[in-house]
Amino acid sequence: MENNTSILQPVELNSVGAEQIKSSGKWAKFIGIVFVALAILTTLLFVSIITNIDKLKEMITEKIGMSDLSYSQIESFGLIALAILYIIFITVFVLNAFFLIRFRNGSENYFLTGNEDELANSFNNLGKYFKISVALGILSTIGTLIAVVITFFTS
Amino acid sequence: MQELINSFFMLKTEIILKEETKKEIASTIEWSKYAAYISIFGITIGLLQIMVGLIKGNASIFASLISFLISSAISLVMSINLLNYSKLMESGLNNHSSSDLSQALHHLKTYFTIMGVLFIIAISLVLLGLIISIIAFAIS
Repeated sequence: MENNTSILQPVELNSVGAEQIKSSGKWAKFIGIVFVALAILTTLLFVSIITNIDKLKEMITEKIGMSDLSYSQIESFGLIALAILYIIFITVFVLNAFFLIRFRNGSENYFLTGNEDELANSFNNLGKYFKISVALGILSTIGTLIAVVITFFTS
Repeated sequence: MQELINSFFMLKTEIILKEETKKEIASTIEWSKYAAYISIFGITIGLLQIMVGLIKGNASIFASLISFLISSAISLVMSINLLNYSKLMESGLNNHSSSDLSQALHHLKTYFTIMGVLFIIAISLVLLGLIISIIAFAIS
C-alpha cells in the first residue's frame, strides 16, 4: 500500500544521476559491440568447420586412428551438437548485444530529445538484459552442479 | 550571480520521472537482484566443486583453485554492485530521494565498467596470443 501511494509522488533524477546513465550507456554499447564481434567470430568458426569437414575428418582419423565406420557413426551426432551449440551461442550474443545497444540508444535519445518514453524504453531493455543474465546464470549453475555430482560419484 | 546560473542549470537537468519510467526501473530492480543472487549462488557451487576436487585428490585442483579465486572475486564485486543498485534504486523510488537514485546509477555504471574492462583485458590477451603465435610461426 505504501509503495502504491509513494509511486504516485514525483521522483527526481538529478544531473549526477543523468551523467551516470550516460556513462553506463557508453560501456553498455561497448559491451554490446563486443558481443556482435563474438557473434561474427562464432559464425566464421562454424562456417569454417562445416566447409573443412573433410579435412578435419582426415586429421581425426590419422591422429586418433579412428576407422571410417566409427567416424561416420559419430559425425552426424557431432554436427547436430555443434549446430545446437552454435545456435545457443549466437542467440545469447545477439540478444545481449541487442538489449545493451538499445539501452544506450534509448538513454542517448532521451538526453537529446527529452522524450521520456525513450528513457522508459531504455530501462525496459536493461531489464530484458538482466532477465537473460538470470537465465544464463541458472543454466551455468545447473551445469556446475551436474559436474560436481559427476566428479563426486565417478572419480 | 554564479550561484543563480548554477541553480538554473541544476533545475534544467533535474528530471521528474513518469510512472511508466518508474515501472520499468522497478523491473530492473527485481531482475538485477535475481542476477546478483544467482551469481552468488554460482560462486557457492563453484566452491563446492573445488572442495569435491580436493576430497577426491584431483591433480589439477590447485590450478582450478587460482582461477576460481580470481573469477569469484570479480563475480562477487559485480554482484555487490548489482545488489547495491537494486537496494538504492528501490529506496530512491520509495523515498523520492535523488541522491539514492544517483548512487544506484553509480553502482550500475561500476557494474558495466568492470564488465567492459574485463572485455578489454580478454581482447588484449587474445590479440597478444595471436601476435605471439604469428611471431613463433614466422621464426620456426
